[in-house]
Amino acid sequence: MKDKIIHVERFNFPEVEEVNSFIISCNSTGKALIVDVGGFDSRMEEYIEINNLTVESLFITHAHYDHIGKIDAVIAKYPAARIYTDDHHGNSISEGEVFELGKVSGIFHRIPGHTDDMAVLHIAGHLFTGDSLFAGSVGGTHSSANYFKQIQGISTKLLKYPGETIIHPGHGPDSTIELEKTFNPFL
Amino acid sequence: MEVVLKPCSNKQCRQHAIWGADTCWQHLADPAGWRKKLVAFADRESIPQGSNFTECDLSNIYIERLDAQKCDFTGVNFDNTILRSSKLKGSILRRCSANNTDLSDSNLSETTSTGFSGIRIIATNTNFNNSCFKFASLPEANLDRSILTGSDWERSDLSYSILTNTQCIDWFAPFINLNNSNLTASDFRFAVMGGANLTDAVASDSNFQRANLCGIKGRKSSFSGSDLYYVRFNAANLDLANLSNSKITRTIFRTASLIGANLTGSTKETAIWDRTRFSLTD
Repeated sequence: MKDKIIHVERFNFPEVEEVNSFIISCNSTGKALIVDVGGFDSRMEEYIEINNLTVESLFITHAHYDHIGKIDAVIAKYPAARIYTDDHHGNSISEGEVFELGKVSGIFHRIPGHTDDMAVLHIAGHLFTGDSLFAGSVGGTHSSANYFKQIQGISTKLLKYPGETIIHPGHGPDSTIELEKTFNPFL
Repeated sequence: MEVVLKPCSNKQCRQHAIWGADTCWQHLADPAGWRKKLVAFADRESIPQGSNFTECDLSNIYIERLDAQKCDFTGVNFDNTILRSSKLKGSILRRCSANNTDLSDSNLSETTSTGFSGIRIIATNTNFNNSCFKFASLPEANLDRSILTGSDWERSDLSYSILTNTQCIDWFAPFINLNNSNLTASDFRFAVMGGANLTDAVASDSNFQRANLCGIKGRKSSFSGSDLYYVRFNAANLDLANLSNSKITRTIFRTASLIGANLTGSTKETAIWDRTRFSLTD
């Protein structure tokens, strides 16, 4: 989707649980962030090369295999990239942590529920929600306590964004905050 | 070559001079002569990028193959104008009037066209790739064989329109009005059309794989023969809709209403029917 400040490119992997990966790039600097790497493949490499992007960072929304599966290959390909994830091995993301991509600032949110480590990125009117919030649905949870924790996190941290904010979930189509507030039966 | 905009020569005016003149449109001494000059110029060469046409009256003229990329056409009147095979890539077309305008075979990609309006526009085989037509009002448009991939048509009106054989991959069109429109044989993969009005629309033999159709008003619509793989129809109204012979695989109908809908011959593998209404008693 075209945007004046950043560009967001989706890569869908039907063979990896229909997972979506995204490459976000700053239009003025060419610096790029990869969101989730469960299906990382040559299409993404070619996109980065053709558009002359510099991969500065990787963001793993959560550590399920469909989102993180190709992490070793991606690190080998882009060894200088900083990794944003909560892996219990020294990397962590805290609620409200500010993130910079070229000339654009973003902010991370923690939305535990589907998994304890679930993180979401808001940048320039776009929300990368991993498996916390989908078009018309929310992430599956293993207990009612986790379910309510997730709903509370979505309600207090994500639904506060303007209605036109575009949601890019880890599976399925994009949406907007307005569409989810209006039609998502879980919210 | 990009032009440097000059101020209007009328000292009381704060507008920029338009292309080929020393004044803005309002202070132009000979509008008819200027229009003739534009038509003659456009026939033999490209308009320099960045040229200003703000508020000009370009109605009822014939400018086939106009090459005016990255120009400013804000508020221009294009009513009844023939602009076939024009190159307008990257231009600004905000608040333009385009009643009965012919833009067939043109390139309108990457245009900023918020509030573009007109009835019965003809834009067959036209490229709208990555353009912004937010809040456009274009009922009864003919967009057959056009490319709308990645374009933004949020809350626009394309009711009673023809969108057959179109490419609408990643189309961003929440709350669009497609009432009574024909979307047959088109590609809507990953389109965001939540909240759209598709009442009485025909969307047969189209590809909607992974599209967001949450909350659509689709009473009496037809998705017959369409590929609805992984489509989200949450909270949609599909009463009396025709979904016969469609591919319903991993399709999500959570809280949707399908009272009186026709599902004959459709696949129904691993679809989600959570709180879906099939009759008034559900």
